[in-house]
Amino acid sequence: MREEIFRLERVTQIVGGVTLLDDLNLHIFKGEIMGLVCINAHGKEALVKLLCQNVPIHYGRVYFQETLVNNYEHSSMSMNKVSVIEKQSSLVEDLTVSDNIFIMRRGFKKYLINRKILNEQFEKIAEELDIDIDGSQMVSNLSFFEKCVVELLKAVITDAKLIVIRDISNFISATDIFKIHDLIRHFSKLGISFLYICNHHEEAFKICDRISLMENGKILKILNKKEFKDEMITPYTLDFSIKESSAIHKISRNGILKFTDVSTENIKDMSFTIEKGECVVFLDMNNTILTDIVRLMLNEIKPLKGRILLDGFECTDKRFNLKKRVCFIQENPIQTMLFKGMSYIDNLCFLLGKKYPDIWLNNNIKKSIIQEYGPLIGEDIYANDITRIAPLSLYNLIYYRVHLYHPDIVFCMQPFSGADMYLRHHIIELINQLRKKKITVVILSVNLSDTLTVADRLMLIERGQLRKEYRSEEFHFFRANQ
Amino acid sequence: MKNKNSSYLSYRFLDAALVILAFVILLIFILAFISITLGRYFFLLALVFSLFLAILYFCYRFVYLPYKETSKVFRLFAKGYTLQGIYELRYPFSPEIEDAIKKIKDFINTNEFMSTTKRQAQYLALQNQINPHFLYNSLEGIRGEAISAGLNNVAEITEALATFFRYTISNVEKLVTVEDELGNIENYYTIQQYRFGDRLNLNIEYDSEDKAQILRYRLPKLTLQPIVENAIFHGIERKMGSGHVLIKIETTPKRLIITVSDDGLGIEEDMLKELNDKLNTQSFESVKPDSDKKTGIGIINVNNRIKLLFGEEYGIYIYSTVNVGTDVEITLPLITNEGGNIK
Repeated sequence: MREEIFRLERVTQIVGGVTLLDDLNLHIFKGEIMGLVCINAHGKEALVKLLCQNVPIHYGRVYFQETLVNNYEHSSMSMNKVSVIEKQSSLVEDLTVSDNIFIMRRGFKKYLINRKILNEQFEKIAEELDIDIDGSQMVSNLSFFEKCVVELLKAVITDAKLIVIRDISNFISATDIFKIHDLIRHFSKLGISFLYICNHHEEAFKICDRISLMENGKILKILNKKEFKDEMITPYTLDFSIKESSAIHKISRNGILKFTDVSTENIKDMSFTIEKGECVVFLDMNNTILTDIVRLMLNEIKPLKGRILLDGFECTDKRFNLKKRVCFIQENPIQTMLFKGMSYIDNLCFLLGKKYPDIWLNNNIKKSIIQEYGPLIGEDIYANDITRIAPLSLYNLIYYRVHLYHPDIVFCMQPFSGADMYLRHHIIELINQLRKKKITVVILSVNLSDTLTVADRLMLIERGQLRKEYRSEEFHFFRANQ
Repeated sequence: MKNKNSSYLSYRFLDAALVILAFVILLIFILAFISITLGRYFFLLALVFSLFLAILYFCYRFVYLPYKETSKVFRLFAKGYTLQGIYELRYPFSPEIEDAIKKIKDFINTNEFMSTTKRQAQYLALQNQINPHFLYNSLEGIRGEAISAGLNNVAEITEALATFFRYTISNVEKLVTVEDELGNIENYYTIQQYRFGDRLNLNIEYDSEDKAQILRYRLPKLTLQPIVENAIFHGIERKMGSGHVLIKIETTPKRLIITVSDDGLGIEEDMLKELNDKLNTQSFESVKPDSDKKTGIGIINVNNRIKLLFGEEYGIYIYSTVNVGTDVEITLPLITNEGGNIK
């Protein structure tokens, strides 16, 4: 007999006329790691909120530890013993690790705090779990991985019965993910339940006991451990095998981008050559060098040693205008790379303004851009207010902006981060559009996600060094080793 | 045809409340004006205003919110989501309405009873025609003949058929053990295997080490058989190649959860939604003799029986994907004694 920690029974939640959760059934046993693979993001936020707090629902019942805590007749708005671990940390940055864990919790009533005891207590726990974090360290100095571990410990100390782990592979490196998985397994054996939310079933297969597939706020299927096979998931997923690999154009023998023995504070003797039109993925297993690569390409830092050549020119040479030839697409670009006060077409032309400053005065150029990109983008190209446009179309805007600007090389920072399956599929199409235009694409990522579906080459980075290189025909070796 | 809003008492109460509220606000304004003009009575003004806010909060907390809750239950009842909800109102509108609901409940139960009695009578007539003993004896006779003729297969199927009829026809209203129910399913599977051969496979899984305890829990008789029948005839029969039916039994301290899964053709999305809606909104469509749509009637009947016996929080939910298969999840209360937990 297994105790149920959470039971959501036929829950329907309608907010502003939109059905966020649709007849949703989910039950999580004590000590179970339940996976939630979201085919699209619809309802994900609402579900997490509903688990944390007993907010009003249109229909259904919610049981927490076998007790009815929320139903369609009456929602008490009370909080459940649930913790959420996500990229947006809930820790107080200006306090120490032990302060966050022991003091910043409900029910803590002591007026005199002995930091030494708290630190000792933390050290004891850290030693037991083989965690290398100093309890007296400020949270602001911690890495994402360390913050995640601290939040996990805090959740356990605050007696959370269910811990929701939300899309952590978007911000934690592959090596660190394994460590987090070990901790999750350890705590699940102690009776704590987990809801592991992610966008990739491969990730969920590694850690979960059962997996629920959700689409449009509805559970489509619950997979038991025996059913953790790719063919069980295939009917629910989109076909990602649309790779168009004909885009490699080996024009220059020296490649478009060449690193020769480059070293920085985090990078150690890195050498590689990327050909024009190629798509290369840099998978940083420890999440240490990606920022350095970006800063090098922005000329914000100089290499301690070695040379960087872009199309045969020295990047560090001040006469060479590097910024005009390189573009960047940041992580979650629709949050950070758009100007909400500008129209769609103005946003689209924004980068082109660097090459042709007259574009803002000459409407004919804009008209011809609309003519060229209208069929690809659709009616949204005429939109004046981009805040009302769907995310899919905003991604069009980001990628077609680069397409229009036509740089030599574009660096995409974690392009699939936080994207649901439909969006990931669309991003792959957009990257292929860039490649068709002979733009070299470099994907900088800490997790594999769907990067290999567009990549020609994979560079595996470990502890700042280029550990191994895989060509597309060798990707299956890499997957097998994962 | 719907009445005008003005003909509803609730709207009239609301209008009256708004008029009183406007009048009180006007009085407070006048009081405020007098206080400001005279430069006195500010304490009185503050007191009246605080009292007014307290009364407003009191009305919101103890009148408006309960009213909203009750009207939501009635709305859901009208849409068919809940039946039990209106019997268990936390804040009934008035004693008269509460009594009226009780009366309606009695009517529904009487109607139910009458229709059950009618069905019972039809069933008895049928039973008389068949005469179970006559049927069992005949089947035993066939079995004996088959054994003496060396036709072991015929003997086995005849035995399975006799056992199946005996279980199906007798004491349908009883709660039986999981063991009995699974025994019947295995028997049913034996019969179906003569038709499907190796194409049909059945597995039973227990999500606990305490299998003996699970087998002792009770559930309404013939809960599983209609669902397994649906899995075979709607899922596996029309499928190319072999099919699998898996019965998984899990228990929690309060529930018995049985999942019947098949890897058959699956159900189209629209049909699945319709079916799940019917399973959620207590419909008596399945008992209508002229009902055109016969799909899933066995499941709806089982669901209705579970909900009537144990309450709305129990019942059936279906997950299905075309060309992948169907999972039917049955949630029941955990019962160890024969008469336990029945509402």
